[in-house]
Amino acid sequence: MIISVRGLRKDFTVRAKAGRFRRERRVVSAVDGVDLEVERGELLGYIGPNGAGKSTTLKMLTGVLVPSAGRVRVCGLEPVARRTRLARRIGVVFGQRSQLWWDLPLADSFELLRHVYRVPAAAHAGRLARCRDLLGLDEFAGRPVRQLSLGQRMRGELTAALLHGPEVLFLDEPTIGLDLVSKQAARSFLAELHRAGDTTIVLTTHDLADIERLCERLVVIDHGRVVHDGSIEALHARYGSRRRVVVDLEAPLAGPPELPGARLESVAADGLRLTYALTGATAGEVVARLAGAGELRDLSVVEPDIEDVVGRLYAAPTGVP
Amino acid sequence: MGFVIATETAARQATIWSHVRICASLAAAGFRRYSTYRQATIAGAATNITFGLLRTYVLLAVAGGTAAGLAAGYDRAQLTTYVWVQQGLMVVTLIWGWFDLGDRIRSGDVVIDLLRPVPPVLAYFAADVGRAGYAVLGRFVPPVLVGALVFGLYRPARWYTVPLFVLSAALALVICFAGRYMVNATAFWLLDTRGIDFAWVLASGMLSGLYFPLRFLPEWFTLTVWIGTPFPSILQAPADVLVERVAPGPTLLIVAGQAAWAAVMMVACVVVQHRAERRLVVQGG
Amino acid sequence: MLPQLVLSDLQLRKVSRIVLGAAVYVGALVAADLPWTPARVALAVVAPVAGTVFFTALFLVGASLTFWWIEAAELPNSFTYGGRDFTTYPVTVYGGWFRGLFAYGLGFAFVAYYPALALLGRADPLGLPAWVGWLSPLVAPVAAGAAAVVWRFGIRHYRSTGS
Repeated sequence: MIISVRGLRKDFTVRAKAGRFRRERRVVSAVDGVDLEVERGELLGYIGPNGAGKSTTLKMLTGVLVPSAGRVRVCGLEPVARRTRLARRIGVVFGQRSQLWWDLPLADSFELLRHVYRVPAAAHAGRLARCRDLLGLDEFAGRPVRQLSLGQRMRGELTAALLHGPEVLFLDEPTIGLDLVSKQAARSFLAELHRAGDTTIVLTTHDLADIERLCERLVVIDHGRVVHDGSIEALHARYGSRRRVVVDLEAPLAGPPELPGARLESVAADGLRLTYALTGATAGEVVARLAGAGELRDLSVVEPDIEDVVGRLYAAPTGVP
Repeated sequence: MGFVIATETAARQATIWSHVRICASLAAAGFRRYSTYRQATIAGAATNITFGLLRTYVLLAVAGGTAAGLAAGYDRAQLTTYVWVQQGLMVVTLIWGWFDLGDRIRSGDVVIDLLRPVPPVLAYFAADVGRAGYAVLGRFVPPVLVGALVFGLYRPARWYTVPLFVLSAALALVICFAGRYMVNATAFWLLDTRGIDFAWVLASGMLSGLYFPLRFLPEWFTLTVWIGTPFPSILQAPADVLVERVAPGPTLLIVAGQAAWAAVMMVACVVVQHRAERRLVVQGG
Repeated sequence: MLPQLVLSDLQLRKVSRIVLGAAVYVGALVAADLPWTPARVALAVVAPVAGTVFFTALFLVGASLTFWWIEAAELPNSFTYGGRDFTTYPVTVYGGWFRGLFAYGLGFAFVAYYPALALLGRADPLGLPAWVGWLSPLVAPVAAGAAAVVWRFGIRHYRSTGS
């Protein structure tokens, strides 16, 4: 286990004005008993609504925030006590913050990081060449970071986080605010990194496309607790997202047929388009029965949308639908 | 080929030498960072020159009004040198106007600093040394040259005065850095640090000998401030060393006092940083 | 736009400085025990107002310069705060080209030094005639006009380059 978390909690004391002179102290648990095990080489999506405790967890995993309770091990180290030592073995990218030297050319930041992390020249050159290649850094590496576009800067940030060959890469909203092209570039880069197999990646994001594209395993956190830990498919199964069959008919049926194992969701285009959600039947069974009832012109099967699931999850008051 | 993970760094133990190399590269970055702002350097040097002219004329008027032509024991050349060296030193030590750390604490970017494998105080200090190096070239040398051309400067009589001045100025930088760092670090505890910033500007302006040599004030007061606060060690001390204001023995005592203050301030700085990290609640978490 | 910018940063703390400055000024005038004439009273009232206008104009010029030199924000300090310090002492303290530039070129001598000479009825050791002191408040409208021009150019420059 490269990351092992047991009963992790973080309480913040919030002071609020209560009356004229009194101030009320209230304890709020940003993270409230999180358990998490991550294997080497996994790509984990750590998602949840705003304020769910994602960033707080990440800060405790990286050692910049002291947990209120619980046991954390990352690369076998206790993050807070071994922060600077752990820093050599992890990489961190914050979408909203920069670890690059603002006033200097991007390439200078890479060179500086080589010294700061004491990376052997050959290893540094190898990793840098790989990132330059995959992220197309060459066209702007000579420019001061403050002049880079957000997308260019993010490519620089990804590179900067990887130059010392971290065992774990933490990414906090890496695609936030990026244009579509840069998002794609970042995603394929991370997919490639994951495929290479030796870097563990923990990704928090609001971007559902990031999740669908990248994450095999999803940990969903809400109100400081883990409400789901498993595959995207398991998430669908658990939260009742369904595949749908959409058929276009040659002529309207007298009454849309009731089908076992499928629920009629909508009737559109003057009765010519029917949508069924599958609640047990297979798409084939539904199509076969419909073909028996009338002539079909066209049909399609719609995969469940992660956006639906997560949206429903976030809307539910306690994270349980 | 994958992104070979860094098994090799585990074997590379940190040594003093490796830390020196890290600091050297951070210092070089600090130097380059400031050298990218040429306009600001020229504008700043011009401002130092204006204030140098102002202060020199005023102090010379004070000296000219006395019978011996001395002001607080400084002759004309010593006063002139005092003023111009201070104009340069106040930028080299960056006595005012450093908010980097405080801003990063408020924005939460300090997280990045904590995730580096170098202790923050060391990393900031290394970068500050680089900045100071650039300030020597861009902000110390020009005003001192102008002062020399317009008024003429004091020529030290003792062979060791200039090297001792360099040491004294370096200690001044350490003291000033630690002071600034602690003032900035109050942002870990306080949402609004303007009061503390203002107190620093006020105290460092009044007590460092920037506006006028502290020796203009009653001796007991000067002595108390000199021993009891770090401020005179920042500007007054190096200037006094350079103009040989006192005999060799007391001059060494001045530098020894600076060394003591440098040690105290740096230790305090590290302690403050440690406590800040322990209670860290990163803004915007 | 300008009034909006100015008022947006008005601090009560700074009012105390005005009160203190006024108190010292009045105290000094009383202590000087001057033979008061209508002209003297007028000058005593107009001079600080003119000085305020003059420095306001100067700060405005300083701020406008950053339209052109964004990085050079420190440069205006040399004639705003530098000018303030310059004005604190009699111009006879200074010498050479520096006095020429600050006292007459930039006009700081007319803010305090010459009005003070006129109020006290002293002759200028530097040889300018006595009426200079009485006319010196006129530097304020001149400075204000110059500042307005610089400000407008600055705005136009900003709009055309957008930087």
